[in-house]
Amino acid sequence: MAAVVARQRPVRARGHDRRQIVLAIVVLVLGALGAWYADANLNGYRQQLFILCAIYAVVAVALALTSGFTGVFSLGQIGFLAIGAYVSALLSMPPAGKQPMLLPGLPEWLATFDSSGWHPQAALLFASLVGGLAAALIGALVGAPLMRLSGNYVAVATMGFLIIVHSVAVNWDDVTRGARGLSQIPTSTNPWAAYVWAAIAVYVALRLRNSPYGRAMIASRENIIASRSVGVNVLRTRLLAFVVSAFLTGVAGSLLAHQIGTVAPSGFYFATTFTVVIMVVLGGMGSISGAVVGAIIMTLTPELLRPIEDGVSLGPLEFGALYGLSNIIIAIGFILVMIFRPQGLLGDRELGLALLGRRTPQQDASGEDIAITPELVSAADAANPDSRG
Amino acid sequence: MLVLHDVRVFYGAIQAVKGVSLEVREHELVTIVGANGAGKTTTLRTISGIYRPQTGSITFEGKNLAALASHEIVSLGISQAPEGRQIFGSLSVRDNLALGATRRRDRAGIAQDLEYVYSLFPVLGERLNQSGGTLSGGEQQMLAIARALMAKPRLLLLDEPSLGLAPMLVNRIFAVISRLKETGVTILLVEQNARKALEIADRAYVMETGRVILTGDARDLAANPEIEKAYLGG
Amino acid sequence: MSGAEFGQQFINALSLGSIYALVAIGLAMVFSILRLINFAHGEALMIGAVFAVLFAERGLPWPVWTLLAVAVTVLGGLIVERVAYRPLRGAPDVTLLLTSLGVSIGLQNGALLTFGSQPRAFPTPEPLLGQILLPGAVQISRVNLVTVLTAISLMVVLTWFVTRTQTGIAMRATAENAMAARLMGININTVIVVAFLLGAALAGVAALLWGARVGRVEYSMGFIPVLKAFVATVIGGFGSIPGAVLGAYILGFGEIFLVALLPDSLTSYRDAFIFSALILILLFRPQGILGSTEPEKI
Repeated sequence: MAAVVARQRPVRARGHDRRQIVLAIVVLVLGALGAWYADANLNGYRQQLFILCAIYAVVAVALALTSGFTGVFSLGQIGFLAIGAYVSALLSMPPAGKQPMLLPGLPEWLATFDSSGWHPQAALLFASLVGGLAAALIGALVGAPLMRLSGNYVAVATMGFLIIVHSVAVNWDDVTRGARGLSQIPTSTNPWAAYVWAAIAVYVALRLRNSPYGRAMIASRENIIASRSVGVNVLRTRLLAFVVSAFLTGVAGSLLAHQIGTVAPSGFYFATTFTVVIMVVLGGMGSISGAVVGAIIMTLTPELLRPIEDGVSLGPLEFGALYGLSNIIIAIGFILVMIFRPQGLLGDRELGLALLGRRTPQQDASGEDIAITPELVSAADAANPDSRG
Repeated sequence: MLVLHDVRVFYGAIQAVKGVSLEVREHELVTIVGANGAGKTTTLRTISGIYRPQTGSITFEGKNLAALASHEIVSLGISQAPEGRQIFGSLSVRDNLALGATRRRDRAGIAQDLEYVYSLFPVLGERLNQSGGTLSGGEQQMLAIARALMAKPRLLLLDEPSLGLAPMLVNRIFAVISRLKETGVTILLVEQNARKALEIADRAYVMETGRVILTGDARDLAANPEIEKAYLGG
Repeated sequence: MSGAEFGQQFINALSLGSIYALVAIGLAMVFSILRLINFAHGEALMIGAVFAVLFAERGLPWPVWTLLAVAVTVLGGLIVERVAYRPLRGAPDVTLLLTSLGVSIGLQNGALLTFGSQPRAFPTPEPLLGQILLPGAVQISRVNLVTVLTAISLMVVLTWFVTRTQTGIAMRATAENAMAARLMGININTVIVVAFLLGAALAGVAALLWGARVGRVEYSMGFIPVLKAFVATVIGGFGSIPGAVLGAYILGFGEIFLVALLPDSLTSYRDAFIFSALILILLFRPQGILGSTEPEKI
């Protein structure tokens, strides 16, 4: 067992850190330039796409934080997106839209709460923080018991959470207006707000990952027995990741609500879950920059495929509207990735380090003399139970 | 009959078997001894096709086993009673034995072999309808060997058959193994109980951390003072 | 609730549980062998119902189109296994789960593309329409009666298969200990194919029964039943076939009587209750009621 513990990631060299900082600054500046360009020069549609990329980057990074680092794969992420969206929407909607006639279930202070006189960005920030905190609170309540589970079980339980949130959103008419959803939310999310939150999400995730907590998280993903034996509190680190992830996702929900101006339950269900899961898997579970790349690809791809759905003509062949085609293409692409590149585009690596050609996680330990313990064998069996079919 | 040449097996990045070469000739009883974690079980499972060797070759009567799936290897006449017995606890003794004969279609031969294993282990014949999980440890080991015999193997792989058994049962199991050898079955026996294994074997290999460190006539090895010190508790 | 009403609800719950059971068996069977939570199993149900409609629209007699629909469902299940799941042998559980999610989305959108987004009426065969009056003024629909009888007969056949045939016993052996099964010379791929074949066949039958029950067919119809079947397998313990059946009936009864007994304002939260129960079971009895496999807890 001792040998396995020794295989945990080595402390990174200082020069490496410096290079990463330089890279981070370059990316930050590029992103800011992008935000500036989107804000100043792009037309409405493209600007919206930029914002959407940034918002989904937040969600994907948040999901990568729980799933990639801790191995606790959450299918309930979109539940937190919904909580953030609804809570922030209820805060930001003008009192006229929250009258008891429309939303009889609201407490009076919330129904009369009015941030329309504030600076729009201040109101957005406030709503986003509250939305994020609400999601984090629920995340802590839900996560505390659920983080005891792992593998399939946690995926299933978090999926149950998503269904419960959806059911409440659909049925709690007096507060959520049911399937019709909420509207009249000020559309104040601009490229800058979205970009800054994306940068914060990436920063927080990288910091968490490189902190002792983060190493503990990765250790708990890679080998629960080993991380336990070195005294890592697996439950606590997982819960921390889960709650931070819920917070960031809640913020993203708020940004989304304030981008579109409406929220409805149908936007926060399995289709969105699947999209975000693809982002993270595509980018590489455990890679923050991978999640960002995945988010951008998966936000833009449906837009690129949209003309095909609306009908295409290939030479003499005319195709009418082909609803569902882009999802089919995405699903097939996803399955191919799972089969041929299950580690995603970047695997565990970060973009900058990948460019520098270095692998951060596990080194090849083939030279070591390692006793084959039952734990190792069962781990290998789990990883490779049917190597020949 | 069976020849392993420079076989290496990895679990992920960890090399468990580091270039093992060994040979089992027809009608021989060969044993692999060594401490826990030496790679003995991995070697045996690789022969059976559970793991795939990274490099090296495994041939059985000239056929390359490394390219075959585990069920094809059983069809060639190699069956295994695995470490920890691994009988199907929820299935009856009868079903366990029937599964041993999965690759066979000769009903008459199967019936005959059933009689044969009942004669080797009469207790199994008394418990045909009992579920495997309710058997005692010794009975489970007998079932595991009987199940492997139901495949009518020409090469029988036995992985730690004495593990966790009371001394009296250990003696019985080893007596059965000797008897099987007399019937002409070729046997490759993996054991931690090196003393017992060397007593009944023709030849032996000693493994340590994934390598064969010694090989030779079983009697010579039993007399080797180093072996005595390291493995026979002398 | 009057006696007659209770009788009606009882048969209704039995019928709903039967459909869940047919779907849940397939989920449990595949899970027990592959450790795959097959989300796409709901799409087997959808495919069965969609092809039932398509074949019926061509004017085929119902004994023919029902059989054809089940056959197409089986074919679909085998294709999915071969194309999407077989290349993933040995992959981590979560990879398998996510892939099945991808298969599900792909198939649903395939149906959306070809079958359209509009629901169509299920062509319930003439003899199944109408009610039967039992003594005590209990009125039950023929569909419910046929559903219960069909499901029970199929389960009897399945029980025979897994306990009396060499392939069935090999399946149980593989579910219990895949490595030992391989050492016996069992071809795991054959076992997996059989599991998918049986699962898809049962889902194909469930599709017809479900179609007759809800009366309409659409591309997204597999989603709810598979989620429910999935809860059933969790109640019964992942991978246990008898457990899945038991869980399915518990769920069927729970759902029908929850709606009958709860105040109206809460009945629409039915799904929230069901999935809260699911989470509680996962937390406190993850091996389910009959499950034997130890859960992967830390």
